Amino acid sequence: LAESQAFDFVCTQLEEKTSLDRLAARGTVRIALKQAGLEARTVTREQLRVVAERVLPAELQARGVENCTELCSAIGRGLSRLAPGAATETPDEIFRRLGGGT
Amino acid sequence: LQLLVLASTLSFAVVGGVVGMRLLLLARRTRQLPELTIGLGLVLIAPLGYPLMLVATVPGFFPLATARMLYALAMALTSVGCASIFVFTWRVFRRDAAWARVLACCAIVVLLVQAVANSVLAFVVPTLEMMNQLNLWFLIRQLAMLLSYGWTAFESLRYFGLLRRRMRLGLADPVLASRILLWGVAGLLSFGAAATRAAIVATGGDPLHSAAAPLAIGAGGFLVSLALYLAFIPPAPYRRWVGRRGAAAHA
Repeated sequence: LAESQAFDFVCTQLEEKTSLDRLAARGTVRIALKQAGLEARTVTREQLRVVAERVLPAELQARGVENCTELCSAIGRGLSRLAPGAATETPDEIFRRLGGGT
Repeated sequence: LQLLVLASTLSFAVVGGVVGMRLLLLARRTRQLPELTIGLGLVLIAPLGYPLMLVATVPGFFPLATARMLYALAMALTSVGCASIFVFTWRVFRRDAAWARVLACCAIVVLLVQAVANSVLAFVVPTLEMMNQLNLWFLIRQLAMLLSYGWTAFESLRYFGLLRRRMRLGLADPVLASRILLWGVAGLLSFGAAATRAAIVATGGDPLHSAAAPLAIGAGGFLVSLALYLAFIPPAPYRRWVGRRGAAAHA
C-alpha cells in the first residue's frame, strides 16, 4: 500500500540527515506512528508534525542518533512547508458528520 | 421475562428508528454512502424487521397465512439491513482493502440467497415456530448476522484503540472517539444477543421459551438503545462530561 506524502518526506529526511538506512528510517517512523495510533498510509502532515516533535525524538535517541530534538524540530518545520496531500475521508470524520458535529 | 423482552424490543425499535431516520435525512442532504447505509440498516432492522420477526413467530398472534407473509417480509427487511451494515463497515473502515470489498459483496449475496430460502421455507413448514429450529438456512442466516455485527464491532473497537493513542497527543477528539466506541459496543452487544439465540437453537432449545434468550435479548436491547442514543444523539451534558475526561487524560 502507498504511504502518505508526509510519511515519505520524514523518512527521506532521516535517511539524509542521520546514519539510518532506508529500512531503518522507515521502520523507526512506523514505530513512532504506531505509538501515536496513526498509519503511514493515511497520516497527514499536521499529525506527523506532532509525532515528529513529541514521539520521534525518543525513538531516534534509542537508535543512537545525536541531536534528535533539533533534527525533529527541523523535520517538523519542513512538514509545515509541505503541500497538503489529497484528503481521504477518515472514519472519525465520517462519525463527526453522522453525529451532526461535536 | 417476556415483559423485559417487550420493553427492550420497544426501546430498540424506537431509538434505532429515530437514529436511523435522522441518518437517512442526513444522507438526503449530503448524498454520502456511510449515512445512507447505516441509516438504512438501523431503520430496516430496529423498528421494522426485528419486531416483525418476533411477533410473526409467536404462535396464535396472527393467522398462519398472515404470519407467513410477515415473516417473509421480516426476512427481506433484516437481510437488506444487515447487508447495509456490511457496506457501511467496508466503506468507512476498510475502503481501500480489496478483501473487505470481497467480504462485503459475498455477504450481500449470501444474505439475499438465505432471505429467499428462509421466506420460501416459511410458506412450507407446518408452523412458524419451526423456523426457530436448527436447519441449514437458519445456520447460514445466523452466521451472516453474527459476521455483520462482529465485523463492525471489531473495526470500531480497533479504530477506537488508535484514537485513544492519538488523544494522548491531542490528535483526536474525545467525544468523537466515544462515538466510535459506542457504535462498537452496540455491535458487540448485538453480536452477543444473536450468538445467544444461535447457541440456544444449536443445543436444541427454543428461543421463545428459553430463560437465557429473554435475558440476553432484553438486557442487550436496552444497552444497544443506550449506546445508539449516546453515539448519534449525544445530549450536551454527556458531551461535556466526555470532553472533560478527555482533557484530563490529555493533561
